Amino acid sequence: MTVSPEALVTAAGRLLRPPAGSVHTLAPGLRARASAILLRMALDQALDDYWRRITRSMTRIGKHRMLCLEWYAGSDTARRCRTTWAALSAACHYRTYELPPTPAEVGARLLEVTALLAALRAAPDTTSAARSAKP
Amino acid sequence: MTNQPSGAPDSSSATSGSLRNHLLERLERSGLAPEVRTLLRELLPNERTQSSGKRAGPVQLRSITAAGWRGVGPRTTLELPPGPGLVVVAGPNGSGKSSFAEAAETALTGVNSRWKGRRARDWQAGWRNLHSPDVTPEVCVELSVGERGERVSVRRTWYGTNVDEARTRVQAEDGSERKLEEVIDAEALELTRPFLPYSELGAMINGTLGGLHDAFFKLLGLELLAEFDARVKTVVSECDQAVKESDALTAELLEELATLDDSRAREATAALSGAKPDLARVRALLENRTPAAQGELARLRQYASLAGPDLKEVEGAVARLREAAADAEEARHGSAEDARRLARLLEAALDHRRLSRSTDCPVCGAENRLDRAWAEQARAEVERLQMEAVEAEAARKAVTTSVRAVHDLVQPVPVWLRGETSALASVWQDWVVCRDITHPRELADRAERAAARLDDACRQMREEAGRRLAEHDGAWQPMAVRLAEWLRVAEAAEAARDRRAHARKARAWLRPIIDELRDERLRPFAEQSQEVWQKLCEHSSVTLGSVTLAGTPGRGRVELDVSVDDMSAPAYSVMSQGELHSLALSLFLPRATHAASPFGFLVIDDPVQSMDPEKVEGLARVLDACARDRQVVVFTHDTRLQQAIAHLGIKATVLRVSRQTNSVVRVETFTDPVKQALVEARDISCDPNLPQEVADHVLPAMCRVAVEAACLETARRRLRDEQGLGLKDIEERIASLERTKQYVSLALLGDDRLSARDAVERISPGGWALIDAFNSGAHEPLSTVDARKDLVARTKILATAIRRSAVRGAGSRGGAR
Repeated sequence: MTVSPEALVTAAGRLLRPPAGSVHTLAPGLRARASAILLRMALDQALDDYWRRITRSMTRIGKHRMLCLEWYAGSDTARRCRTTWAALSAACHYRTYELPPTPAEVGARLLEVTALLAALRAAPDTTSAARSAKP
Repeated sequence: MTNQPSGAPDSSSATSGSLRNHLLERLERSGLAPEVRTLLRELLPNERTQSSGKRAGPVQLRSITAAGWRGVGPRTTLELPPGPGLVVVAGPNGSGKSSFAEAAETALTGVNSRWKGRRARDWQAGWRNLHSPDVTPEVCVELSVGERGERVSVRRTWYGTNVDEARTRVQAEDGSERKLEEVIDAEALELTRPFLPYSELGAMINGTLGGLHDAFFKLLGLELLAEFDARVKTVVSECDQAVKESDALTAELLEELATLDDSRAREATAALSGAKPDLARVRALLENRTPAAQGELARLRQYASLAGPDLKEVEGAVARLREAAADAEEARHGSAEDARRLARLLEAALDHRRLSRSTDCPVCGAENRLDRAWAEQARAEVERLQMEAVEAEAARKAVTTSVRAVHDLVQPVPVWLRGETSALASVWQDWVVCRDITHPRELADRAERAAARLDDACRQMREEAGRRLAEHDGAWQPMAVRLAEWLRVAEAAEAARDRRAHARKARAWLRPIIDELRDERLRPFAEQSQEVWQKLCEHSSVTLGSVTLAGTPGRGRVELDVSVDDMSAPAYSVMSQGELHSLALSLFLPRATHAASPFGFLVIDDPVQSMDPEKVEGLARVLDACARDRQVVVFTHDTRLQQAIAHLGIKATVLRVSRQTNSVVRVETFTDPVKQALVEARDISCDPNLPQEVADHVLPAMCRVAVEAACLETARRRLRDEQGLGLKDIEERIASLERTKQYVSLALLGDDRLSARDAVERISPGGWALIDAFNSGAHEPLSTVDARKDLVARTKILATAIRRSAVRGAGSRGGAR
């Protein structure tokens, strides 16, 4: 499975906003949820790529990876990753009594993921990583 | 917000001093008519002396206490961390969070916004906690006031069952009584109200936002403009009033005048009924200077004062004349001449006798006739005759005198009567003719008759004229009074008409200037509002364009340029509840965080409700931005805000409020920046799959963050409580910190230039080495989970010790912890 995160984002976008004329059998809520899953996969993969450039075997715990990210990719990127990741996780879980995410909401996340992919690709940038040590 | 608009902050106090001058300057350049400029200059209000001189210093919250108040039974205190920062007070519905929010507002303002508006009675009845009838209801806020961060408590206690039956006591730390207005600027409390209760959050976006408009107007230092405009407006309406009054009176008078048959009434009607009443004509009329009225009136007056002959005198003179005439007639028989002649003859005879000594008559020649007896007789005769002559003479003279006297009584025909051919004139002529009659009897008869007839005619004429005059004046007099009154009103109206024209011009000139100035000054606020909105509703289809103030002060409104997918629409109709709340926040924050606000805190009650996840993230960012230089206390039952704060890594203190049975409310610190950092560090330290190089890089940094957070809180507390520094000074000192050791020095010693090594070792042995170890590379390799855990554990001990040092030092009462 060697699909690039960007390809996943494109697929998510297509699912969210089907090209005109296409017939879709899925309800918008379902499509939004599916799209959220793709987006989270994209973000995970981008993070994998990122960490591979730092260390051979980064922990698989998503939260930890993102907490550590702050000290490599800078606090802003790290916090945005975490927020987006958390939001996408919430959106792709199917809970009986919760409303599915709205396409608009996932659409907003899509933009965020696109921006994050760019940020993560540019890193690792050791200068923007954690403040230089200071006793 | 941290980035206060650069233009606005000083505009309220500093540049409003020049607002008046600015207006005067523009007035000079305006090219308006001199009268208009004079009017404007005269109306331009004086600069109100700003109360900023005695304004109380910045105010921050230390704690909020409630007892027997709404959801809170026994006395409970909500302790707030010092300095700026975000505090989230979380708790389930009904846990008493909002009771604290309301307690703070009530203690400071004496009112609660829930008590206003609908259902106010229910709120007013339910203010008291039902579970604790024995607790004296009280709300209290402890404040840090002024440049010295003085501890002042504002306590409101109730002595009755009514919500108004309360008194507020303000007490300084040393127990001395203070006045509330010394501590809290009531005007600022209204203008830059730091409270945003839930009820207002939903109700803020109503039709006009009039209150917000007026608050902005004052905040922007535009009160002067508002007053100026109001004054000009008043002049216009006053003048309108005067003109209207005059017009009404004119119509009324015209009606009344129409009922009057009088030349003056006609004259007045003519003067009044033109397009513009002829005031000069009315004035002349009232002063009797009109030619028409003058002629007739003068004639009537002359008739009225017509004086005929004096009948009594005429009668007397005629009687005297008759008497004299009778005397003279009697005397005519032995007329004076004859008597004198005879007397002269007899005298000559007597002389002859005496000289000739003869007794013979020289005339008839008879002898001895002129004897002694004759002589005596003749002498007597001479005397008698002489007397008779004198009498006759006198009678003639008397007749002449009497005739003249009668003649003298005859007056000539009055000049104004001459040339008239009236009956009176001919009668008078008869009377005048008497002058030419010399025959006494005829004169007497004619004069008597003529005088009587003339007198009669004159009297008739006089009476007639008098009657007509009285008739004339009787109807006219009240009208003249009315006219005089009208004249006064009309004169005022004429002046008002001019003034009104000037005032209207002035207003037309002023209006765009007001708009311009207020738009100019509002711009930074509007931009801030848009900024907040964008953060909150980044991907909403609704965009907030310009925020402008419109209308006139007092009847103003805030206009929001809201558009949905580029189509403009009224805010209220297109926005979801969450968006309305966001909008309310967008408008509330710039106002409450205005630089002129003395309040270093914001209290917002449940802004999270009805916001979608994205907005909650936006909200967290917005609150974080505000919290950089302010205490932001947010009450919420929604856990999403806490989540967003955690995910976004926003430093915040989360207090949890829980309510047990009988309204026993507990407040505990759920998390704070120190705890946040420690928890994150511990999570990482426990992960066995974390590669060592990452752990080495990340963990010491995370631990350092925890210690620095502990230092910040401690330093703020110590500087405030021990050194009596104000908010500004403290934040300046903190902003200059760079190295962790400086943080520690400031926290423990209150001075970042000193070395805190000994102090650290005293409160936490080995702490100094730990601080050194935060320096990457200076620590033991963190190859094992145990080593990592140990680092975090030691950090926790150090952080706790640092925080305790100030709490102990300040002797804090720590009600919440």
